[in-house]
Amino acid sequence: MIRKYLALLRRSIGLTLEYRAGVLIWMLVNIMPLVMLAVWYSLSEDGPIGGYSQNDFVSYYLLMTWVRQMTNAWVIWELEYEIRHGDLSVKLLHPLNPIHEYIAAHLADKVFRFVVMLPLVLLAWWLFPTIHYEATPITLTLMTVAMIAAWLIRFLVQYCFGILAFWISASITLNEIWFAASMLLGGIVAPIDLFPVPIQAVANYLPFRFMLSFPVEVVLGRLSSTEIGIGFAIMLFWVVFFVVLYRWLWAKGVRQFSAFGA
Amino acid sequence: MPHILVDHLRKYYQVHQKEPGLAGSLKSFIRRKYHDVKAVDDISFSIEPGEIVGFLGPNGAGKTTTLKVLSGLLYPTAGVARVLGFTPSERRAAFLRQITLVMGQKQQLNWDLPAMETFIVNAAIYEIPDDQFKQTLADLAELLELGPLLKKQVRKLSLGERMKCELAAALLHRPKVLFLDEPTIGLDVTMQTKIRQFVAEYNERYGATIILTSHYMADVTALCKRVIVIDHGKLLYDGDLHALAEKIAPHKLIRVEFSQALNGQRLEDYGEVVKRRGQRAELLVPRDATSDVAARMLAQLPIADVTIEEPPIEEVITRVFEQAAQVRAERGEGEEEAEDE
Repeated sequence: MIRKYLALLRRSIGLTLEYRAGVLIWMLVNIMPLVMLAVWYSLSEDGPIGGYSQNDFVSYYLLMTWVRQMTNAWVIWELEYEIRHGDLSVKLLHPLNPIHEYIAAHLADKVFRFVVMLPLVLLAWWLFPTIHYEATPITLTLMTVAMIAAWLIRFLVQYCFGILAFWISASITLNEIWFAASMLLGGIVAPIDLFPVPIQAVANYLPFRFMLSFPVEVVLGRLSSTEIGIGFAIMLFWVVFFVVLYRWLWAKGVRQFSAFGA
Repeated sequence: MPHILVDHLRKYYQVHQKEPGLAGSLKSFIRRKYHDVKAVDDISFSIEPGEIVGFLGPNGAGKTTTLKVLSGLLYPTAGVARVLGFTPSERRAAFLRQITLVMGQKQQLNWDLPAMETFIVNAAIYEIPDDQFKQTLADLAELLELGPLLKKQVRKLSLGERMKCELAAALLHRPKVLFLDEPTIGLDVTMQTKIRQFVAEYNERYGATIILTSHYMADVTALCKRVIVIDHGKLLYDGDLHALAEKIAPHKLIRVEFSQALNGQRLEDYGEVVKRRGQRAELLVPRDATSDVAARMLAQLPIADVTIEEPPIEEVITRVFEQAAQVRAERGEGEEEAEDE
């Protein structure tokens, strides 16, 4: 399996470098958290909002930008296209589950983004000396684990929506609705603890939080260690849930495949 | 044990119908009409190890669908398909490692990378040991004359060059069973010949079992002793290519050359004249009467040369499909798709 991943990764990195300009443009477009930062920054000029000072908003949204870039997934666009056009045939003929080829492509993209983002992160640190994180080896490790899990959830959710293309042509639209919900409830529009308490109570358990907000929360220093522990438990539940859902949908969907266009 | 076994195989597609235009779209939005297309409709055959079988049929006959079922891309609606003892639709790794499907219309090579990159990935995915990979690659490079092509970006290759690389990518793992769907489509005659020679060579070298579909009869006559003819999802013929001509074509072709112009004799008295130019003529004569007619012609006409031949295989095949269409028309089952909503 390692040999397969190394080979796939090699090819994917080759492709990412081939399309580097495109990837950079996608990265630039992905600045919603910075837009929201500008909004909250000016709103909190006269004093903290819900316990967030201007400085807190900067800390929150800069880290959110990083997390969002590093946990990004786009697999639905490829999977949906390949199912509808029959291009999936090529991958289905390989003695390897197609999901691994998509995972490798995402990994390559993460390597590229990491290299591009790192200087920007250091620059941000230098530009905003007042930003503050609970950055201990433990919290940083927890954040990394949470980011990997967040990426897994985002990837699997898209994969599940993509599989729906075996039956319906509206899978992209459904994914867009999900995306809008994740903007709202995943901590992009506002940190989740700024929402009214009843909404918070629900949002804390929904998958959206664990796709974006949770890895940030872990190093922000606003959660108790019990809350972090509970968070990881819920996160694990969602990872398992979407793995099981993916496997079930995939087994059904492949039976439905018509391998058009050849 | 046969390598490929197909028993009462059926594959139906549900297709929804839509009338053209906006009104049609609205109608189809409110009330979708579905009908079954019987792409493969009760087909049985078996193929022994090392055979090369030609799969013939007009567009939409069900050839590609059958190949897709056999390579595990499609689930059959009913019936049995077995390849190398596996059920293809289970798509087990051990099965996929021993087969390949080459589609002239679909490519696995990545457009933006050199073919070699895909080869390396395939070597890993198919778990090909390093030394075997090197050996097979060297063999394929020699047979297909790949040398300088491997390091060029695929989008910069010509159609023929790309097809050669596609074949190599599909055969690196030395599959035992090959499904070749229109491997020569769009290629010029020289390249077609090369691909053909290559397929024969691969079959010989590795003892592989091969099913080939092609619109070029030359591919089939050069490679396949046995043909399977299907149309409208049904099997029309399975057997020796030359026996097909005897069975289907009730005529033979007599080609004559006269030593001098005919002196009032009517050629029409001997058979159906299909071609006449100057001193040469071609006549279709009922198969049983061939020798009698030829003898009479030799006795009564000023003949310089005469040959008796099977009619061209293209015409035989066309006749098979015409007869099948006629039978369907007589039974009144032209459009047999059941409609439901």
